[in-house]
Amino acid sequence: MKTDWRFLDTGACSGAYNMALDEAILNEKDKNPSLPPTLRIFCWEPACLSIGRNQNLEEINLEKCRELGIDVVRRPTGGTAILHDEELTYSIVISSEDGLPRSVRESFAVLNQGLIAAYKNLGVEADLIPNEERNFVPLCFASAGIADLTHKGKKIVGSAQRKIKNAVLQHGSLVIKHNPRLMLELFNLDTSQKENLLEDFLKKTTDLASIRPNTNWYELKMALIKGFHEALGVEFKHNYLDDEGELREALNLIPKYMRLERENASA
Amino acid sequence: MTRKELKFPEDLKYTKTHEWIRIEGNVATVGITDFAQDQMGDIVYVELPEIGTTIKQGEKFMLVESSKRAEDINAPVNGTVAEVNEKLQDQENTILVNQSPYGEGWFVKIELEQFEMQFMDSTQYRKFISEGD
Repeated sequence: MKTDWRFLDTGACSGAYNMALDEAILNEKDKNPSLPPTLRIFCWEPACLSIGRNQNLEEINLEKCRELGIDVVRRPTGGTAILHDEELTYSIVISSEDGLPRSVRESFAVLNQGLIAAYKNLGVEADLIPNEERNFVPLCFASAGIADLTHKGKKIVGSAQRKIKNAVLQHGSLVIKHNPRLMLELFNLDTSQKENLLEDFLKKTTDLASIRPNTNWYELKMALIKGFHEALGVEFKHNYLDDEGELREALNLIPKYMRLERENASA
Repeated sequence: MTRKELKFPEDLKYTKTHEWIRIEGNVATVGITDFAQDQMGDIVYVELPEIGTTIKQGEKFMLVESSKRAEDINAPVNGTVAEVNEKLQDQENTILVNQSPYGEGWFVKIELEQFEMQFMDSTQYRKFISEGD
C-alpha cells in the first residue's frame, strides 16, 4: 500500500461542513487518483446527530434536536445514527490504486489496522469483528459489523464507507465518551423502546472514558498518527487542504448537507 | 464463498466494474455480478434511478448500500431507464441481490442507444477477477 499520505486536522466544525469536506476530498481524489491518500481528523461544534445515507428521517425527533441545540446531518455513507460529541472523528480517502483491497471486508480490515495500533498505543486492546449482524436498529453502536472494532466484545469504534468510481471514503468515530441517554432522546421512540435500546447499548458498547479515564483528544490524535505509521508504514508528508479545489467544493456542497432528504439516486 | 464457487452465466456480458448485462433486442437488463455481491456483503438498500432517466456509459447511475458501504454502480451502456426492479425498494427484499444477482436481484431495464461494446464474456470475466482485482 502507498505510504506517502496527507494528514489534516480541520478542527471543530458544523455537521454540514464536516460532511461536505469529506465529499469534496473524495471527489478530488476520484478525479486525480494519483493524489496521496488522506487521513483527516476533526470534531463537531455543535454536537451533531449524523444519520446514514438511507436512514429513515422519521426515526429522528428533529424538534427535540432543535430544542437541545443538536445539529443533524445526513452522511454520504451507509449505516445508522450516531451522536457526535466527545469523540475524535477520522476520515480516510484512498483508492485501489494506492493498494486498497477491492473487497469491503478486506478494505475495512486493512484500514482498521491503523486504528487498532492507535488504541494499542493507549494500552487499549481493540479487535476486528468477523461477522455482520443483519440487524435493523436505528442506532449505530447498537449493532456491530465488519466495519467496527470491539474491546473485550463491546463496540468501541464505528465506521462506514462510501465508494465512487476511483476512490473510497471511510470515516468513523473514536468515541471518548458516549452519551446514550441523550442520543435516545433524539429518536421518535416510546419510553419502553428507549429503555430497551439503552439496555442493549450499554451491554454492547463501551468508550475510552470507561477503559482509560482522562484520555484527551490530543493524546488520541498522537496515538492515531503513530498507529498508522506503525501498522501501515504511513509517512504523513503533506498537511494542507487545497483552497482552490477541495475547500471551494466543500463550501459549494454545504447547502446539500444542510438538507436532510435522501439524495436522488441519479444525482 | 471462494471465487471458484461464484457463478457467471454464459449468456451474459460483464464489465470491469462488475455489472452484468443481458441484451434482448433494444433492451438491456442490468445487475451486479455474483463476485460483486460477494465482495459487498449483505445489501441493505438499493437506490434505483427514476424511469426516464438518461444514463451514460461508464458513469454512475445508481447506488447500492451494503452493511456499512454505499457504492456507486456505473452504467454499462448508453440509454434510458425503461423499468426498475421495484421489489428492491423494500428493504426486506434487498437480500435478493445477494441470493439471486442474475435473477430476482436485477436492477434496471434500459432502452438502448448507441454504445461501445466494452464487455467480457463469462470466461474472460472469470479470468479478470482471478487476476487480482
